[in-house]
Amino acid sequence: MPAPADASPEERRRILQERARALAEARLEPRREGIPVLAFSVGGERYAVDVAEVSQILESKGLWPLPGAPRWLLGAMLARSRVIPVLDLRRLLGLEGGGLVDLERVVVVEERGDAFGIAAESVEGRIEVPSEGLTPPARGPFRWLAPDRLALLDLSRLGAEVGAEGG
Amino acid sequence: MDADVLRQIWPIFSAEAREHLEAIGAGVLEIERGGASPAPFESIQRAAHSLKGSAASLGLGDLEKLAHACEDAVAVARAAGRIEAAAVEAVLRAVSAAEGALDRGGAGEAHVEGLPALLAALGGGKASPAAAGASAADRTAEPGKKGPGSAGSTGDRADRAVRVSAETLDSLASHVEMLALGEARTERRARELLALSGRIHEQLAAVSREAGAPGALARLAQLGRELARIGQDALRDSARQELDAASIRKDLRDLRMVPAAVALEPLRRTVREAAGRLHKEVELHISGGDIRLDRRVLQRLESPLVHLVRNAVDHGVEPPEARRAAGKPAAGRVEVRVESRGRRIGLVVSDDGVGLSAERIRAAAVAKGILPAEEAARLAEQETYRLLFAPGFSTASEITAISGRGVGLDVVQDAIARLQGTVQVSSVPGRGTSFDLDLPLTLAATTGILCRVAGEVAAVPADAVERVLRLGPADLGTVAGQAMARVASSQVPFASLAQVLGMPGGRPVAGEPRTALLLSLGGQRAALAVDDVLGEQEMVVSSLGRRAAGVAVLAGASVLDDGRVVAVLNAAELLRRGRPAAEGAQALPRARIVVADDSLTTRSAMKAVLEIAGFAVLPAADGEEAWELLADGRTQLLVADVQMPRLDGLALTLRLKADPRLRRIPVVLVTSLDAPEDRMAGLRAGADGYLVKREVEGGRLLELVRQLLPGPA
Repeated sequence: MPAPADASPEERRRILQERARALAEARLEPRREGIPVLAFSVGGERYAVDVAEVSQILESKGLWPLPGAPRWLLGAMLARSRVIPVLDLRRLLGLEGGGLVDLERVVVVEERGDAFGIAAESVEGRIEVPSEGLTPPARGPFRWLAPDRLALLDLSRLGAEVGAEGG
Repeated sequence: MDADVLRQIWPIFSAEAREHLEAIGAGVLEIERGGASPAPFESIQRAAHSLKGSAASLGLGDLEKLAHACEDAVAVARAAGRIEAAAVEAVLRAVSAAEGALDRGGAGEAHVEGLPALLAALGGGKASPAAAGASAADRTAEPGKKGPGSAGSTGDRADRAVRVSAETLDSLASHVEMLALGEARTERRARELLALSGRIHEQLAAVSREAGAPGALARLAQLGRELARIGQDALRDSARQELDAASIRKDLRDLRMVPAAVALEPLRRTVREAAGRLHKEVELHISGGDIRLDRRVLQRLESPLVHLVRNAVDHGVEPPEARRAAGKPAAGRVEVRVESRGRRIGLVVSDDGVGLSAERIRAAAVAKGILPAEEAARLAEQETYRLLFAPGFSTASEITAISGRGVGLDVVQDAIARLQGTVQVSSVPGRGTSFDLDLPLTLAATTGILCRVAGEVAAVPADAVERVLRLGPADLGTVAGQAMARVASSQVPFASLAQVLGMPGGRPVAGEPRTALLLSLGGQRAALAVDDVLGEQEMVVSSLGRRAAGVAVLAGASVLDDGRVVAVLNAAELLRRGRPAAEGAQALPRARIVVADDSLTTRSAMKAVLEIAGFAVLPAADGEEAWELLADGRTQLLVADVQMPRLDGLALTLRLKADPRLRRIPVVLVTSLDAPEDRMAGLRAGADGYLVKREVEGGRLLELVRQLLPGPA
């Protein structure tokens, strides 16, 4: 859609500027300077993981409890033909747990070859968090906190090897 | 070289370099053992030459120089027709140093500590002209510019072997399992199809009896027949698939199996180093190295084996003069034997040393408060030996440079139990001691007994289940407070599986007949009651990953053919928990202490000191691990090293003291330096006590802990 040929130079500039703004707005909708994360909620609070670490999102219907497992280990399920453990973030963070009923989704993540699931009440989806205004967390397995209290999980510190000597 | 390329190549290079180093170490020992065969010289020269080349191509100067010096030293020895003990020593030290450099190194960096001294010991890195001429490597191996993973360096065997990543194998295995799962589903569909076509036929017959519409009916009948044919075909296909999957599974299982020698050969160096340091003469005899077992089982056996062998040299074999006085040959004999036991495998580590003294073990156990004197006196010999595995048994004074690295036999037992294996000890005073490890051949495929426990389904490996029992009220009773079940004419410890797993509703109900699994491993038995036994099934046990690795009672999980995921329980751990009396368990709850230190030696030393004093100790390798252990609020005290990876002691203390639920837990910080500014930083972070590492064994740790812990421990 070329600018009308008969328009004055001022008018051409105005039209072009308008168009540029419209285009810019369309692209800005999730802010361009943001960090892409997958946001979800557990225990009424919002958490996020780096999208690069997410391998899939499943319904928690396929989750089977494991007799003898500690409370932070909700059970195991099949994800892309692998058996993965599913963790209860509430227990790992030392919060009061709740029933399994609330946890409808499982966010499957992979950290250094170790795949596991994090049970969630709901998954918000992929969002971009502006990189300014992020603060380091006071405590907990987090990379940073956003101004709206969204906490990005540091998977390498989440439920890693409890008491395992490993060599 | 490009940093990215280096990063990609690094794992391959380091795996290869380790193989070469292994070959050099093994070769030099073989030369020393004697024999005029040129084979070991050649294999060392080849390995050193390849290592030199690949190190040079990655710009790793230190490793290159070291490999070169090893090559020259061996060339000198070859020209002379013999090898000096000092040269053997120098080569072995060079190998250890290079391995250390690989351990610490990352992509493109491998700094060898004490390089000049190592090079000097190897002969200054300069070969005599004669020796250089004799260097066979230049003729037998290509100059080291070959790509990683090339097979030429490993000799003629390599022509038929390829390097396969263990991950690829695992992934292949899991996909094959899914194939098998799909095949089970196909079969079910085919059966449904057949049933459906049967019903069509019935309906058609009914319709044709009542109303006559011959043309349409005939067509319908035809359709029904076709449906039946498709169903039959599908059934045949699934049978064929099943056969294919079964043979692929078998091939895969074979691929995963490696000869036991992979883990046994490095023990030669362990024995040599330990014996050298202690001025003892020890011969190591290895047999059964060609028996193959799952590489994952083997990997996890490495450190328990090193530990047992070191123990044998350190505590078993006597010094030469004592041996001569006892009428034995001056050189002690340590034997590592692998033997096939059907679906399990036996690994026996034995020595011809002093043997165990049941009397002294009892006395030590009583002195350490592991059990009361009158109970100790009643123990049979075999049960007495089991005390060696009790946590806190190995004393701090035994933490020598050689055996232990501070690790007690409880750690060995732990590693074996995680592999679903058992350890038995036998000993003849004055004649020697023998540790018998009984292990599954593979962690992968087993037959599982499916059972229901407190309403949930779990599987127990069938090779650990002797049989399923039906116990009436008359079969159950207690002996000294321990529930026992009568099995044939003997009494076996009895518990409910739910109770053992810590599940609610697990109390045994008196007066009802109960179904129980009779578990039996390594000569120990226990009867565990379940709600119901659902059947037996061939299953593949998948690991639950690093995060669930610490849950000792879970061996993994398995997918059943209906898509259900079930827990596979660790039979050895169940047996351990089901026999509380036999393990000298403490009746009273003990105060719980988390000990965080990244050094295994210090961690184990502190663990031993505290355990002997009667505390329950949870070890952690860094601040993050400690934090996880602390999170449940059941810990009474934290002992933490200041310098740790991921989360250091100061940050851990700050975090703890900022948590309203945990801030009351006293913290003792431990550091290697006694710098006043460190002490200040520690106290500012909120630490309640401060300790220098060398004070740990002096009783200062215990003193501090007793001051800080409220109430008697």
